[in-house]
Amino acid sequence: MTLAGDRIRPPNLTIGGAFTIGQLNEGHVIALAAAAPTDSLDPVDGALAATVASEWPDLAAGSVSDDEIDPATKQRRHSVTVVRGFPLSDDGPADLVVMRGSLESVLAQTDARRGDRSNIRRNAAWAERHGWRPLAVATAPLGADGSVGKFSIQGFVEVGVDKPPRDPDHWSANWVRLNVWSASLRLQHWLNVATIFILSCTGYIIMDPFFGPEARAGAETGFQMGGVRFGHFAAAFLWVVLGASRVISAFVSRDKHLRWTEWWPLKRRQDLRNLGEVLQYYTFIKAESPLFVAHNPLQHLTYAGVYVACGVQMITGFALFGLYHPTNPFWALVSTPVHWFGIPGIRLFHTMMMFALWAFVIVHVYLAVRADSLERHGGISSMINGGVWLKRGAKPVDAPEI
Amino acid sequence: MSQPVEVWREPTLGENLTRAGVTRRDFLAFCGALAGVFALGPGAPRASAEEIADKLAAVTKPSVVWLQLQECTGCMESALRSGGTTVEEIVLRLLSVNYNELVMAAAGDAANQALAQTNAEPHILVVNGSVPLKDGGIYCTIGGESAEAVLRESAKNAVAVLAVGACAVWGSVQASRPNPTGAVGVDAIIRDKPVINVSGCPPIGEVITAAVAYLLAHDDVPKTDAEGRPLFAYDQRIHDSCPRRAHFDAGQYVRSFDDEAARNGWCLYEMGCKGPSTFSACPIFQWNMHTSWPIGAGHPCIGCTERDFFDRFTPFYQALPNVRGFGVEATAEKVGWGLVGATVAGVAVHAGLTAVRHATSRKAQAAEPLEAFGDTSSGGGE
Repeated sequence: MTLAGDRIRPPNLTIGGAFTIGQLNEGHVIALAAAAPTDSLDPVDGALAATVASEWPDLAAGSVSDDEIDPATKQRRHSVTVVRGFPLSDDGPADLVVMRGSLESVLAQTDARRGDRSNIRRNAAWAERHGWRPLAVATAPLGADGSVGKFSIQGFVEVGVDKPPRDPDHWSANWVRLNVWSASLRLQHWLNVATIFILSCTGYIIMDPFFGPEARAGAETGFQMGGVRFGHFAAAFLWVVLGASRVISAFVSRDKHLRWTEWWPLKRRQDLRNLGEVLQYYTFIKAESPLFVAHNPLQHLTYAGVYVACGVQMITGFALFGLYHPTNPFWALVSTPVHWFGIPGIRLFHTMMMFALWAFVIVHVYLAVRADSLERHGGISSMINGGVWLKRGAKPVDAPEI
Repeated sequence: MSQPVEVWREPTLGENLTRAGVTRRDFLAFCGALAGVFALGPGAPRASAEEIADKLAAVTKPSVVWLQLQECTGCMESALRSGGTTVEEIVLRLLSVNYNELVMAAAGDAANQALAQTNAEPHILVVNGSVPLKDGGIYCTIGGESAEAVLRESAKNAVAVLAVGACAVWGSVQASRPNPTGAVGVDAIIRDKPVINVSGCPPIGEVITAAVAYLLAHDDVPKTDAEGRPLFAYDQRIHDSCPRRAHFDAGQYVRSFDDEAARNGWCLYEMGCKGPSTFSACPIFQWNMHTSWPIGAGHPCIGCTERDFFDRFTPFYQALPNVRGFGVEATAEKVGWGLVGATVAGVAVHAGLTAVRHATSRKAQAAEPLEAFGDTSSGGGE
C-alpha cells in the first residue's frame, strides 16, 4: 500500500507509551493502533507491532485484510481499519473498527465529552512538548451485518522520532509516587508562610502607616497601630519559636531533608557540575536539567540564604523590640546591634530585608509553578501531601533509580 | 551671665548659698527636683531631698574646669538660660568654675594661669565641643594649644569627666560625613577614666546640672548605658513617654504640617519623628522651665541625643533613612517596591521565554512526516 519512494528514509521510531481515556487499557490501545497487515511497510506499523510483540504478545491475535483498510490522507488525517478476532476481553475475540491518526482528525469523528476532549488535548500537548507525536485511537463496534457503530475515543499512543528507546520496565506503571517531605517539614513550611505573611503586612504598616483614621471631630479613636504592633510582636515570637525548632531539628532529626548538612550542597566536584547545569537550564542554555527528587544545589544554596535572612530579621527585629527594656540585662544584650549601626540603620536593614524576602517569595512561587507544569511531578502538592511523582526508570541525582 | 563669677568666700556650698540669698526652702526644693531626676533611673542610689541637700551643702569648693572646644556655645546657653534666675544657675556660679571661656572674667595670661592652676589640683572637668584631630589639630586651638592638648592636660588630674553636648559626646555636625576636621568626641581621647556623656544638641539644662550635682552628691559617677549616657536621664525613649503616644497607638498621624491632624496635635511619626529611636528625658523635663519642647511645638524629634544622628537620622522629615548607591538617594520604600517590581518583571520575562521555548520545541518534533498521521499522501491525493 506504500510506495517505497514516498519516504526519503525510514525514520527511527520509538513507542513511548499510551494515554488511555476510554474503557481500554494501555496494551489494548497500542495493540489496536498496531492493527495492520503483516506485510505493511509503514514504519509506524512496524514499531507498534514490535512493541506489542515484546510487551503484550497475547494481544497480537487480531487480523486485518488489505481491502479493509482506508489509509490516512493529507485531507483526512486518519485511517480506518477493520480488525477481526481481537482479544478484547475474556469473553472471546471481537470484531471492531479502529480509527487511527492525528488527534484532531480523530476527535472530530467522535462525540467525546468536553471534559474528555480537553483532558486528552492537554495530555497530548504535554507529550508533544516532550518530543512525542500523539497517535490518536478511536474504536467502534462492528455489527454482524457489517454495520459500523459510533466511534468513541480511546486515547493516544506516543510515537517518537529519534527518541532513545524506553526502559522495558516502564510499561507496567509509568509514574511512581515517592514520599519526600515529612509532615513536620511541611508544617514548618506553612507556619513560616503564615508568620512571614503576618509579619510582612504588619511590618509594612509600621514602616509606613499609609492609612488611618481621619482628623475630624467625634471620630472614634481606635487602636490601629497598637493592634498592628501587637500582631507583629505576637507573630515574631511565634516565628522565633519556629526558627528555634527548625535549628533543633537540623541537628536531631533523622529526616535527611531536615538535617543541617542539607544547607551546603557542594560537597563533591560533581555537585558543582550539577549546579552549573541547573544554572544553564534556568538560563535556557540547556534544555534539560539533572533530575533531583528533593532540591537541586541552587535551591539548597538559596534556602540556606533564606535561613540566614530570616535569622537576620529575627536578630534585628528583637534588637528593636528590646529598646523597650534598656535596663533589663537580657534585652540590653539583645539590643546590642543598635549601638553598632544605630537604630535607624537597623530599622532600614530590617525593612530592606523584608523586601528581599518578598522578591524571594515571588521567584520561589514562579519556579514552583513552572517546574510543576513542565515536569508534572506534583511539586506544589508535594508541600501539602509530601509526595512527588517520578517516571519509572528515572535516574535522579539525589536518590536511587526509580 | 552678666555678673562676674562670684568668688567662693565661705568654706561650704551651703554657706555660700545662704550668703548669696538663697533660702533653705528654695535649696530643698532644688534638691527635691534633683532627687526626682535621679529617681527616674533604676540602679541609681535612692536618696531623699534632704540627704542630697545635706551632702551638697557640705561640698567644699569643688573646682571646675569647663572647656569649650570645637562647638557653638549652645550647650552653655542651655545650661545658663533655663528660663530665669534659677538655683541651678547659682549652684553653677558657686561651683568655682575657675576656667570657662564664655563666662569667666579673666582673659589672656590670667585666664591661662587660672587654667593651669586648676589643672594642677583635683577638679571636675566639663567639656563642651569636639576635638578636631586632622592636620595636627589646627582647626581648634586655644592659647596656641590644640584642643586635644588642652583636653589631655585638663583631664590629667580630673576626678570626673563630663562630656556635655553632642559635640563632646561624638563630634556632632562637624564629625558627620565627610568630617573635614577629623572631629571626635571626648571619650575617643580620654580612655583611662570614665567619661559621662550628657548627650543632646544641646542637652537639657537641668540634665547638665543634675549630672554635675550627681557627682557632688554621690562622690561617684552615675550609672550609664552602653553609650556612656547617665541612665537617670537617658533610660527611656522619647516615644515611650511622649504625650502624643496615644495618637501613635491609635494610628492617628500628622501627614503634612498644615493638616487638621497637625492642628489636633496628633503623632508626628509620618513626619519623620525620631522619638521611637531616641533616648532622652525631653518629654518629662521639657525646656526653659517646662515651657515647651520640639514635639510639644509640633515639630518631629530629630534624635539629637543619639550618636551620629546627622548621618543616621537624616532626612529628618522621613521615617526611614534613604538607601544609598542608587544614583540619587531613594527612599527605602521606593527601592523595596523597585526590587519587587524588578523581580516580577524578571519572572514574567523568564515565563515568556519558557513558553516560547516550548512552542518551538513542539514544532520541531512535528517536522518528520509520518504516513500514519496523513503527513504523506499515499491512498488518494497525488
